Amino acid sequence: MTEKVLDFDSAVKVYKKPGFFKSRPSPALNGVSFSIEKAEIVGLLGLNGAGKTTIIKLVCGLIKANGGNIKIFGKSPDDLEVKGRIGYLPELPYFYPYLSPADALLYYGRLSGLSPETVKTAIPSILRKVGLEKHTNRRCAEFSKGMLQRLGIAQALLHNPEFLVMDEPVSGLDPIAIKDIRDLIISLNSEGKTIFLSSHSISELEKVCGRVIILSGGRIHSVVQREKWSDSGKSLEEIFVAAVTPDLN
Amino acid sequence: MTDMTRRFKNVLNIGFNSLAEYLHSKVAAFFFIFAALLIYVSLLLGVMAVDQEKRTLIDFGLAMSELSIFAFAIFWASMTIQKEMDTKTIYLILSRPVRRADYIAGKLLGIYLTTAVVYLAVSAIHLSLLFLKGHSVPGIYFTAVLFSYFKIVIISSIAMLITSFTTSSFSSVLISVMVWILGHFTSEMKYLLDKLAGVKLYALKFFLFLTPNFQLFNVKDVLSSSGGDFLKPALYFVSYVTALYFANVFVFRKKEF
Repeated sequence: MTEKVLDFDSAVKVYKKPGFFKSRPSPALNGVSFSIEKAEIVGLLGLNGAGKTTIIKLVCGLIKANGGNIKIFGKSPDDLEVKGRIGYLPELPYFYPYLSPADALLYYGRLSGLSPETVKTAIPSILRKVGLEKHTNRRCAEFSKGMLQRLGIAQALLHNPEFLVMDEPVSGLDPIAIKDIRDLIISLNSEGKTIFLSSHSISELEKVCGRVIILSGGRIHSVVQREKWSDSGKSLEEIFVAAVTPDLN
Repeated sequence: MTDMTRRFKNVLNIGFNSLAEYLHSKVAAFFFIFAALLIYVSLLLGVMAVDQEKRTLIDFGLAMSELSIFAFAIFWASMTIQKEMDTKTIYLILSRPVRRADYIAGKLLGIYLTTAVVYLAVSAIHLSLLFLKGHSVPGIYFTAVLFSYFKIVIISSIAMLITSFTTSSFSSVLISVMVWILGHFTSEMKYLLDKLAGVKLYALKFFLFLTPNFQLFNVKDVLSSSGGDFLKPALYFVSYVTALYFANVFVFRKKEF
């Protein structure tokens, strides 16, 4: 029997937008249900404002759902033991500019509950994995967008999580960096890690995902299996455009 | 590692990281230079005061140190979490096994440590000037600095709390300045109580209850009114800061990013 890593059951999220006298409700997710099983790579696809980042923030416990039920490894996203099993890469990660990559990893590694000795031992291999081994002594202030993204992945992998959550992992990167990150995602998955990523890059999701969830207006429009775009002759882009076009009109 | 040890380590980790962040920023250097200049002004005033030079140099120097550290403290306390939210650094912390209460404790610790470091540096300049001018320093000087630091700790906790409610760091700074001023006029507000009745009386009583009483930390008053009983202000400080920590945690727990 396959292990369920993530389970969304009719999740609802309504943000409160500040108004002059009182806040206005702004629905972001409306009854979203899906699940992810161990060692899957699942992508989230949707137009701006479809609810991709909201789902990712709910998974990471940064916001709370107003309705429905969300379970990660069978527990609440707020559970600290669960958080220790997740690696999260936010969109455009920021690191304190005065820190070196090793110092940044030491800080986040310790917050993940690792001892300084364990982090120091893990740093060289993690930096090698993300292609930053030659930049160990540089400060983050000198890093390009691609290098910061690589460091972002390094901090997400540091505590060897079982479940990786990535928000726009290839956003704004050059083609070489995109290929490196794609290869890394595939290699991590082959190690048995479950990967959940959101992206605007349809071609990237097409290359790495086994399943793609298409979001539209805070609801799941459809869940597309890899076979649908690899066997039917229809690209994921065509499937996506056909799915969201009615919403644009 | 027990849960408590781990939580304690998280608080220290966040606190010392905040300290490093502040010390690497240009703002810390700016406030330090600002404080040094103000102390230098006290030196000039001391010269002008002729036979009251020592007293002027000590009193004015202490007041200027406090004022500059106060400006620094409310600025940082109002900016600290907002900056982490803007840069999304907070995502990398709160998505890890770190309790929100520990994050707040760490950020507060960071501000307390930073203000302590800046205060020590500014006081060192002040003391150097006093020694250079050949003046001895009364023992109460150090108590005055400590009590002034207590006020800074209280106002920075308040500034952080206000930031959670307000929409901008500017309004938080502004409200904190108002609280600072009101906190130095609590005895005048108490006097007003006698003139009021009904709802206004209860409203002012409640307002007074919430407003920090910074007059308790005036060392000269403590010496003249209670003969040097420093226990009451020390207890007041501990209770007030603890209450502010829990208020900060209560508000922050509900915050979404």
